[in-house]
Amino acid sequence: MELDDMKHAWAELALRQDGIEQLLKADQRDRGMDRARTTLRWSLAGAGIELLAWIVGTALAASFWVHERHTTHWLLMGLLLHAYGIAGIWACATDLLLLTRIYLFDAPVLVLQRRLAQLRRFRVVSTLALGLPWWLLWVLATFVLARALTGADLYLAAPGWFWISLAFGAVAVGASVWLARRVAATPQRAPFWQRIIDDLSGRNLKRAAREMDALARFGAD
Amino acid sequence: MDILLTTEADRPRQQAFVELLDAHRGIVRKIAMLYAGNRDEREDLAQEIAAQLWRSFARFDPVRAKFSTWMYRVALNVAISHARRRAETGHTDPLEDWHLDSVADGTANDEPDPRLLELRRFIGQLDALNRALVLLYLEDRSYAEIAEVLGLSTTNVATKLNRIKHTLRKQLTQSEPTGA
Repeated sequence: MELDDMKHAWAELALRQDGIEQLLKADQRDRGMDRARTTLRWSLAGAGIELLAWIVGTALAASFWVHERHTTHWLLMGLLLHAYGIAGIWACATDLLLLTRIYLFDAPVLVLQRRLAQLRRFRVVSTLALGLPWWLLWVLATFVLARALTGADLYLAAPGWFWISLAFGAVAVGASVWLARRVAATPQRAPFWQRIIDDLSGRNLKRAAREMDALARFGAD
Repeated sequence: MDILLTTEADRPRQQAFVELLDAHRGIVRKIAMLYAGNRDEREDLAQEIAAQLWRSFARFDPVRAKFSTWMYRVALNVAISHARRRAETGHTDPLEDWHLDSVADGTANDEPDPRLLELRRFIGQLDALNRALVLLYLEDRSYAEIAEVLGLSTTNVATKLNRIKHTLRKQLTQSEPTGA
């Protein structure tokens, strides 16, 4: 049998498959449409709130180091948090931009699937780049917050604790990646943990790279 | 009861959309059949496609593309994304129960059509992108339209289809008993 002969088999099969006629029943279709609108609203609202939070956080970090610019350790901590905030704004804005390129799903299949793969790869990289540093940043954020809210200088009061916490954070960065790679092969029950482990272990990044390669091959043949 | 949160201004657009969807319902049905595993999943995928079509409909421009071309693009993009999510959760054979569902519908013969089995086996081997290509071919779409839907050149479409035909022919030759 040739592929052309299969056209006849396909036409017959298509006629016999009426299992999803429910699709066209008005109430179900309307529910689907309504859900689409609600999802759109929540996606846009969520992305807007996230971007706003990054901007506010960055502005607070900037005002902190400007105010404390005469003390070296506060200036450095404030600048680091400011840089982190700018990275967060950039990541959030890029994510939004990539989302708007795919949102309507009406681009040619190869183009849209490539954009989707780019978005997935960007999310994996940005989640790692913004998430892992928190093993260190929480120390800076705590010290800066205490200074901003109470005026206390925890760094001068306990410099040893500050450096030990940073050293612990640096070890924890490596340990969390190592642990994720160890447990990556075991399926997790909660999708949330599965995603975190796949991100940390590099599985999601490899998956995204494979997908980009497959799309490139399909387009280049 | 109309549970759509539509304004008066939306109604003509909604009506136009529903009429076009009704006229081209076969496209959604066939794509859902190719990319989902069982009846429940097919219904979910079909709903997802219909919802995405509605979301995208505001930007549909009949001057730039035929409705069917636009619909194939949106529906295939949704279905391929669905297939990718499915593969990530360890499901690998989305076509496992074509025949069983046909029997359950009371629309199939007791004996499965060998051509259908062959078609199912063949499509089941293809990845999501090549499956889209073969679907459009089986739907008798022109090479130009296939190229427009997939974002390939017409030459590329022809090359790929020839390669697929060649592979199929080779497989069938190998599976035939020698001396028969």
